[in-house]
Amino acid sequence: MEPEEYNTPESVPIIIDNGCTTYRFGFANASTPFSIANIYSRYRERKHNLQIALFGDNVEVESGAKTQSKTAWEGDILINFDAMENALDYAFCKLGLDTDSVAHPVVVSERLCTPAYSRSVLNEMLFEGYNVPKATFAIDSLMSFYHNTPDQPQRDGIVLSFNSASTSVIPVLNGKGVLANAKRMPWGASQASEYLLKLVQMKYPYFHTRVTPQQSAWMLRTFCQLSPNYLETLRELSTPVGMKLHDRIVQFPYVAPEEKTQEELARQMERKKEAGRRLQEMAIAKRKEKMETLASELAEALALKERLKAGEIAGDELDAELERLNYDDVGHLNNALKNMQQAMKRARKKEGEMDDDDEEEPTYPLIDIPDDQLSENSLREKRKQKLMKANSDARKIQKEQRIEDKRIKAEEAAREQDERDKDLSAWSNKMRSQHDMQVRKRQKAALLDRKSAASQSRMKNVASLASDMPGPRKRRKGNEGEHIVMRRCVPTLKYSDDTFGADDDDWQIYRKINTAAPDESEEEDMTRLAVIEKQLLEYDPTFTLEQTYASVSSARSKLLEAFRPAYPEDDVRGHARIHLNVERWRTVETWFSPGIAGLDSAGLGEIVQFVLSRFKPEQRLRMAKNVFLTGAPAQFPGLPVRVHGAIQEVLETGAEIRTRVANDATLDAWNGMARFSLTPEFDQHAITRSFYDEHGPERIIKWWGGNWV
Amino acid sequence: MPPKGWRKGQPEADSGVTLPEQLSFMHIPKPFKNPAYTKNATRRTQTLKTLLSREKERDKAARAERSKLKGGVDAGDVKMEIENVADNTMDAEDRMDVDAAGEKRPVVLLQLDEDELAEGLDPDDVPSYFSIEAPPSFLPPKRYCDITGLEGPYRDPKTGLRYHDLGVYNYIQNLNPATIQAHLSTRSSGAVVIK
Repeated sequence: MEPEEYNTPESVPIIIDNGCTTYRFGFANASTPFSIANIYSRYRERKHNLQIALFGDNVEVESGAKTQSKTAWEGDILINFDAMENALDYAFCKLGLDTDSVAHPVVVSERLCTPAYSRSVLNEMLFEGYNVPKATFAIDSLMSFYHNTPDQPQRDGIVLSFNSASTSVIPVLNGKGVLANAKRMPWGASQASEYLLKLVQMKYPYFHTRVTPQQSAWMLRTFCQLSPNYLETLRELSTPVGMKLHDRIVQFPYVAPEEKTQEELARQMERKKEAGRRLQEMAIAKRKEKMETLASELAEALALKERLKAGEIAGDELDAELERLNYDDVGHLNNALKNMQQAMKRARKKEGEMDDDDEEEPTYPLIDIPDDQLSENSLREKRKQKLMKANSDARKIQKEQRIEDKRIKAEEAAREQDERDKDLSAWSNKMRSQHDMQVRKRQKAALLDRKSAASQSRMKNVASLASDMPGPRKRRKGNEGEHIVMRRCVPTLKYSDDTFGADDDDWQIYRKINTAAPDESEEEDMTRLAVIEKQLLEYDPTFTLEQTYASVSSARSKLLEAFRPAYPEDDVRGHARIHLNVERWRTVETWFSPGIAGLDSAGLGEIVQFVLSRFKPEQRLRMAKNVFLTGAPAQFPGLPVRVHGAIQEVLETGAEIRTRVANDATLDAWNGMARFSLTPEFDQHAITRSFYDEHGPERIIKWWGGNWV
Repeated sequence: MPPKGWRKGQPEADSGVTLPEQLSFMHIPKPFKNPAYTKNATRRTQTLKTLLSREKERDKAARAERSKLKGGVDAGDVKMEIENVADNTMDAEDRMDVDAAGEKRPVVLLQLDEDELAEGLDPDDVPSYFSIEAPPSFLPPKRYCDITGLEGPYRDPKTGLRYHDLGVYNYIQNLNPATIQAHLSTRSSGAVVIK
């Protein structure tokens, strides 16, 4: 950090506006102060092993510094004095002071009714740590008010001070803040920003990146506003169109997936096809090979069989031959032969070499021969043949049935087609009315509430079941005495002889209880619905997928869709977006009804009314003419109008109300302090070294722009 | 007093100076600081809780003292007496040991000038950090949808969430308990138990 050139005379005060977010300091005769975030960090740097102290936005340059950062404020209260000391060090360093002590008078802003502790430690630090000759503490918002009404020393008004962690209403009469009647609500920009962050996180629970508090503070500053009538605005937003109209999109950075060119896509497709073809070829080759081996094995086996039949081979020669072909014995050979023939047949069929119908009808020669003419072996064979015949007959019947079904279906389809061809709209109307009926039936079923007769009977069932049951199980586990007493009370313990479930109908009770389980009629309805929908989809060009029951019942409402538009799965850009609509008003509305953010406090409008009500009517009228808003959040659009409305409610009609925001809501507190410090009045109100030595760090002088105690 | 090690912190001219080193104000001499001033660590480190409770005690004591003084004595005497009490307690304060002086606090003497008295302000009404706290709201709370923030005339008995219309209701039915909890907690400070 480079200190500024120091050549200011010692009589010029140093003005410090010690805000909890922003720290502003400078010589009173400077046109603008240095303005920097009120945060500091001290850490040891690894590279050169140096102690580093950073202040303000500089903290952001190093992630290590950021984690070590500290601020002097905790919410609304100045409490961390190590950080405060560093802030003062930084200010005096930056201003280039190179004298033995801070020889300038100092004016420091403080919070309305700051705790004695905060002031006394700061006071002590100024006088003992820096040896300042004079110091004054001023309430920032009153100084901003002073700066904006310089030519009215007897000014009256109401000052609304918007701070980072609180908002205060301070009545001013004759130029003096009436602090006894001031009120503060513990809600400020930091809370509002936190609230917005929470809302965003709930709206986008699966957002691809963490939304930081800084980002939410930015969204608050950039998009949020107050409406003169919140309910009216909400009603405006409660239609999908209205919601979309007020939608603001915050696009977060995202990494776009690489776009593939047409050529690349084509090449990829080609590669895929090529691979597929290769695989197919390999499969064919393998099958062919398999078939060849099978054929050759079959040929050899057949040859052997032939020779065996012809008696050409026997004894050792046969054994050797069987062994060569890997058969155990002749039976094995026969079995294998059969298997191989069948496999061959199947393989041929697969290759389409053989026709389906080619299957020759097996003959059943034994069936018609009476039993007594048959030997035992043949009898067994006959039984087998009988079974086979029955099987094949059944297959035949089934086949016929199938053909018949097909024919009927075709006929029906033809009839439908005919109907459609004749009059499409009539057919469509008929189908649609059926569809609607089914859908309504389902919706009606879904609407069955607990007052319905069905539900009532269900409840009765449950109740009777519960009363039928013996005492709760835990009672049985209780101590012995209780156990005995229970036995006496309930003579028929049903645990042992409970036969529930023995009768299958018992289980029906669960169907009666659990209506959520789909019953058969529902299933039937659903299939019927599916058939209708399928036909409608196929033939009625006006019937779209969105009209099906499934999509109707599961569709997100249009309003929710406008509230948080859904993006397709692969839309990376869309998924990096935050849509702000209702939040734009909802977040700032918390100042006027903090209850919506869970804070049990009167809203700003109520507080202003409350404060005004403690004054006499003519005082109220004087103050209403000058309603003054200051502090960074005072810049929300629509805020003055809203405050105006709140004040109007407690004044008689026709009363003059003037509301205005400070010229520079963020800097005017500093400007006011600087202006004040250059007036002769400053010397009257400042605490001098001798006053400090006499009264200690807690005592201050009461003056119009400072705290009373 | 220059902090420990600031001499070491002088950046060497030849080596590359990192950005944090450039921005640091650690190495800048601070002759304006009083080397004899030592920070009283126990005094410096207070938690917010103790700070507030002490402030509350102090406020209470001051108020009690004031009301005691007010009883029976006429205005002129009160002023003198308050002056005395204030001076006596100031001696203790001079030792700058706030913790030890906790027993006897200076009574805050509030002098209203003619202007203020003419406006009819109450001289006994001394503002403190606690007295200026805003009262709770007296207006009936408005009902808003927990999901969208729109008007929420209905309440789902199962989750306790308020909702705007049927579409939002259907959305609520598919929420998991954690999300429901999160929605509920935004509008109420404590944890909410879902029935």
